[in-house]
Amino acid sequence: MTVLSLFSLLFLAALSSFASATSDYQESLVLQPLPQSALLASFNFQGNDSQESFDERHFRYFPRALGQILRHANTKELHLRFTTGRWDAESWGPRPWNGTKEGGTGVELWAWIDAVDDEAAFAKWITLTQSLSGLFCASLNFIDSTRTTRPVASFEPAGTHASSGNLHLLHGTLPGEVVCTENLTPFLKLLPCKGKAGVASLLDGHKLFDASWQSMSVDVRPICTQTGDCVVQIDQSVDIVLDIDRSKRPRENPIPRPVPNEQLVCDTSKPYHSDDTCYPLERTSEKGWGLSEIFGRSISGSCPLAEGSADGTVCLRVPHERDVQVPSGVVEVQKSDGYTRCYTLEPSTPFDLTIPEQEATSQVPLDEPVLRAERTIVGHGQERGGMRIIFDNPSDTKAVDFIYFETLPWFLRPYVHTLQATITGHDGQHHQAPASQFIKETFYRPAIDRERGTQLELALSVPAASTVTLTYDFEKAILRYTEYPPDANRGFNVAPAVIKLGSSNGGAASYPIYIRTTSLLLPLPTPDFSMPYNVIILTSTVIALAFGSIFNLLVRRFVTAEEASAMRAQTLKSRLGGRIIALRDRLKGKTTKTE
Amino acid sequence: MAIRDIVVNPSLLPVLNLSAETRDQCMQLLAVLDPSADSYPDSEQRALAASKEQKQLFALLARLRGLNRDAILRVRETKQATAEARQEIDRLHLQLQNLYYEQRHLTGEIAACESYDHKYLALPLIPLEEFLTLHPEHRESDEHELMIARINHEHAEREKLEQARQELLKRKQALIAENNKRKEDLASLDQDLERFIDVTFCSYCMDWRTASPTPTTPTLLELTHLVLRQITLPNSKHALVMITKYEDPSSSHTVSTSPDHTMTVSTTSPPPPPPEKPEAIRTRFKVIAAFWAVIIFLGFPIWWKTTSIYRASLPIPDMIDWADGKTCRPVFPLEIRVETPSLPEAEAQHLLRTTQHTLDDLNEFSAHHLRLKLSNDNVEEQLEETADTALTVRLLPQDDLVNPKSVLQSDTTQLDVFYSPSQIPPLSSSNPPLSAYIAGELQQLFTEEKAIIAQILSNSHASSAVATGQPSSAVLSSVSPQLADSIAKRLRRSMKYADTYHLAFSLFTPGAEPSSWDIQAAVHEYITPLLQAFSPISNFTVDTQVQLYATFAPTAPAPEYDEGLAVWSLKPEDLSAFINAAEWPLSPSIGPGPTINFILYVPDAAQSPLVVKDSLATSWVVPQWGGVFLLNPPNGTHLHHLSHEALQGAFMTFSHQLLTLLGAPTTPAALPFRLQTLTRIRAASLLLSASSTMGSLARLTESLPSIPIPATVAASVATTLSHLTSACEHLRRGRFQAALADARVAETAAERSFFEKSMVGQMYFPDEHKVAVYLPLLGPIGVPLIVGLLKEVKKALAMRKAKKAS
Repeated sequence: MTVLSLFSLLFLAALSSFASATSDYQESLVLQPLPQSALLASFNFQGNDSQESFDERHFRYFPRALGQILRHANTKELHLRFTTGRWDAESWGPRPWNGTKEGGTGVELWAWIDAVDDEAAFAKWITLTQSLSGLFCASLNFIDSTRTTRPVASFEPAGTHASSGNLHLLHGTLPGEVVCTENLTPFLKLLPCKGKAGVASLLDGHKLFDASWQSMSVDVRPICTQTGDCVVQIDQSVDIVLDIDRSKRPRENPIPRPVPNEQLVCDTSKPYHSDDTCYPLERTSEKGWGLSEIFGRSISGSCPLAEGSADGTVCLRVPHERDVQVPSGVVEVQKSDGYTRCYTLEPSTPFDLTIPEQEATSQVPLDEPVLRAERTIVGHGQERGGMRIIFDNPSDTKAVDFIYFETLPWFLRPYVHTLQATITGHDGQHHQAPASQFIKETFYRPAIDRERGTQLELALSVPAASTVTLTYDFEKAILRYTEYPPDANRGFNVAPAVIKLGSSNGGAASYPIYIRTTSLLLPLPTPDFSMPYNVIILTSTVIALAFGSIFNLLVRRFVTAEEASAMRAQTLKSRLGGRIIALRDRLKGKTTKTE
Repeated sequence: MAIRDIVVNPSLLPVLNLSAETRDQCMQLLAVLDPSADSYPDSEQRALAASKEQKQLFALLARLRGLNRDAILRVRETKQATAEARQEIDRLHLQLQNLYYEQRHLTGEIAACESYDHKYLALPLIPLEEFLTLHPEHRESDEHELMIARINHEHAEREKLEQARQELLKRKQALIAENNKRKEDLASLDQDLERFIDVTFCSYCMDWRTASPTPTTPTLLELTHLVLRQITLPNSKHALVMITKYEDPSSSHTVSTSPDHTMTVSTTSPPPPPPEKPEAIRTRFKVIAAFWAVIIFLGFPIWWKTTSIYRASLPIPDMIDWADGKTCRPVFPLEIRVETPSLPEAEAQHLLRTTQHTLDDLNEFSAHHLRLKLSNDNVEEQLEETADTALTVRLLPQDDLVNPKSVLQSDTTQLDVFYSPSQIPPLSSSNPPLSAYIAGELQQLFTEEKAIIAQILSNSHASSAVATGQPSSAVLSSVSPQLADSIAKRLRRSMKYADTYHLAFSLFTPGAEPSSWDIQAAVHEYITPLLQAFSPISNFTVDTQVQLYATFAPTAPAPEYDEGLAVWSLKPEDLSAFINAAEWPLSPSIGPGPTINFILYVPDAAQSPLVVKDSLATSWVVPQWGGVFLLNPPNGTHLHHLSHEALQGAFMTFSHQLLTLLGAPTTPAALPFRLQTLTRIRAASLLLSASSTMGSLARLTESLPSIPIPATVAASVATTLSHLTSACEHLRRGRFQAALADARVAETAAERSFFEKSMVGQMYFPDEHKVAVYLPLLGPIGVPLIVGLLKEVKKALAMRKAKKAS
């Protein structure tokens, strides 16, 4: 039985509570220390503008730049993700927001576009990607037809749409995109308080992109209440997992130094313990940290627009007995779950939060993820390879149903008939099983070279306490000379797979859980790039040789060898030779005279 | 031992004596001084005696010292003498040693000489007896002389023998050389002989075949002669060779005079290959011709076809004519309707005529003229399309008026002229004051429009003003310089014409407040009516946004506090830096058409009121970009929400700025009238801009022969030209709305053709690159082909010459 964590519930509660408000703006920050001295910081900013003013182009909380793009591209719902790093599910547990606000490595974009037919929708999609590319300084304009898919079951609209008949879902990924500060700056400009007040003032590119994992998301959706009031909601979030030790290093001295000998805590019971040998003892106390230490600055007061929710803006998830120091006058609200406390910010009063080093008696419990997934490229050689996807169901009692969605670039040609499954129980016993035993439904759209990529959606079910491994073979296509990127030998990025765990699975939660695998690097056969010139020159030489001999055969006159030598006497060469001999003779004559 | 025994030197004896004496004296003195011996009764006496004794002692001591000195001097002298003596001894010793060395050396030399082994002892001389028999005169001489004689004899003998040997060697060399020469001659003779025989026979048969023996005969004879000589004189080979050598040039000379016997040239020295058959020559010619035919008829056309670029034909002269203003001379005949409800027909006509006359007199700008028409005489105009009415003049009688009075209606294009009935001119008067008044009023109404149009025309036709004969400069000079200046300024400020303008109203504030405004109502009240009025000219979209925490650009200078006026002021020259382009989201709207930004800036409470320095203005226009309004909150209050009333001033300003930016004239006050004027101005400027775009396109296509011109461009150009023509026609007929519509289409098409994407295609592979890549192919193929062609051409020329000669 999978139990959703209270943590996730908190997020979900926050998510649903905002839905009813009409024109407002809210922001929140949730801090949670994770094992291995990591710290998860989840920023969330939510702005609503009424549908009416949105249609009349009066923008208040909704950014005008994005609003114009959406209007221009007929986009009703937009989801944009910038992600770097890997979420370490083994030690950090389930993902924040249940994975709904994160994307695969690089950039991921999906949108519902209102258009009469597929072509019109695609044209609008291209407009959308081009415009967003300019707005976010990202290479979104490289999302062309080969990187665009139309998922069938993996995504559902999050907003309320009147008529879904004309809505087209398009999905594109750029796994190779490097997310960095230039994406954060336009992201912050979309906020009403622009990162100058409120929790957004903590966001600094240096710290944010130094994180072990970070994800920025922009979601736009229309929400209508029962009464017919509609709002357009923009939901921006930034989730980062910071390494506390790394972040605490001062910027002017970022090189880690060894711990001085005096500060080492050694296990003196070891037989080899001496002055120069130390077996370090594990720290029993938790490391201390503070907001200004980790982010390099403190929160500069609340954003006046954010109508602080009753819960408070900044929430910290540590056990209640833990000592937390905040500026005087800040209201602290402790939640009944025993782990959460929230603080309300005051306008134009800096807020800092410090947890001194103290003995850790208890930890916030982390849940087991519902499913673990891993995807790798196997095989060797330049021609063929294989894909292996491992699904591990940690639950002992309940099977997991989910939808597995992957897009493959056209130059990776899968052989779906080689799709095989192996099931391994937690006792370690392998046995081959027909793939159809796990795959309930398949949606497969084969690739067309240079036009579109492969789209594969599988509805899978993994039995309790077992690991299912799917494998299939693929062939690597040979690209045209001009299709290789400048760094061809680095390999080609393959977008991460998206796994959607059905909403029926979670019980209470009506929102699905998303898991994304890491992106893959596919080495393709790369030619020697001077090849075309070599080929041209070699063939030219061969043709010239052939032509020369044929032409000579046709044009030359054939005579016997003696005749040829006689002819040669007439040629310039022989005449020159005669002249040289005469000269030599004369020289010889002279030398004899001198003797 | 007593001292006298030791010191025996006589010179020391006085010293010894004296020292003894001195000692005695000392003893005496001691005795005197001895207190125990009372030789003197009182001390005085004793002292006297002591001093006496002492004096004597001193004298003695002095003498002793002198002696001592003498002794020392003597010692020195002795030492000197000793040293000199020793030196002398050393010198002598050295001399002795040298002599010893010399002696030893000489002894050694003598021994070496005695043991020397001379050469002559080993010389192999003839025995003594033989020598003596040969030279008996030496029998008596001693052994030494005998030896000398023997050696001399030996020397003479040897020299003689050496000379003999040299002579023999020389002879041998000469013999060898002669031998070699003979051998060579013999070999060459053999070859020559062979050739002679071959040539003789072959030339003979050749001559026989070509049947032209006359020129060859002498050669032949000569050769036979030579052969005969060669045969007859086998012994004198050398002579024969000489002859052939001398004969060679002469023979070749003789032959070269007859070019049709080239074969005979070779006949002189080597044996020739058989001549080529004529069909072989023909085949070779055909082969080369075939290759060249393929190249010329297949290779070049393919190359031409594949590398040429498509260039649709454009009506270049027409386009340039349009650009130069030769095709169309924009004229603006404005129709003004005159309504005379209270006047009889004839009088009205008369008034009209006189007014028109006055107007024509007043007008200096021929392109822009006013035509008056009575509102009821439009019977004949039913046939053709009616011209737009620029203005309606209503003549209304009013009784108690001394002077006529005119009122321009602010909501219609109607000018009401009030006059007293007494002012109606009689039919006879030629220049009644009422017509002059009406004409003056009209002229004044249109002054600015005229100036603007003249400015536009003069700007675009600066170069071709002479050609078109526009007296626009005259018009410009006639208006006041202030007006001309303000018009030029406004033209620079106003936006380029576009089909669609995007209006973006932004509320910026450096802090967090105000964060909301009654924008919907404000736009609805102040902006929408204006936009509706403009709708025949352009389309508009309106965007609004609220931006908090919008601070100045860091590069912009901060406002300064003016103590005297208690205001914060921005310098006028810094206004352009006021807008923080990097931070403020003022991105242009998506879609075609420019964006006009209107910024409502609410300064921080700490920095308000904020004004522009000197002028104390709170709003200004950024040319071709938009407008800025500084909304200073009332003293000490925090504006949380900008109400409709608070926005009133700002939006009034914005609507004025919008008019300015759209290029509408400032006078007169009536908006419909200004819009009509704007229609005409826009039509003129669009017409001119489309024409000049056509000219630029024509020049571009002419100056860049390598850019492709797709068919769509040609189509767009055709559309442009046709619409330009019809726009011009509409202008001439005074239908300005239609002219504007046509000019808009023309402008759009012109822009589309000029900015056609495929016309900026780039050459990724320049010709040099291609040549470099294909040189390995073209070089080896081209060279034999060209050489073959040249050979054939040479041969053909030679053949023709030969034919002419024969």
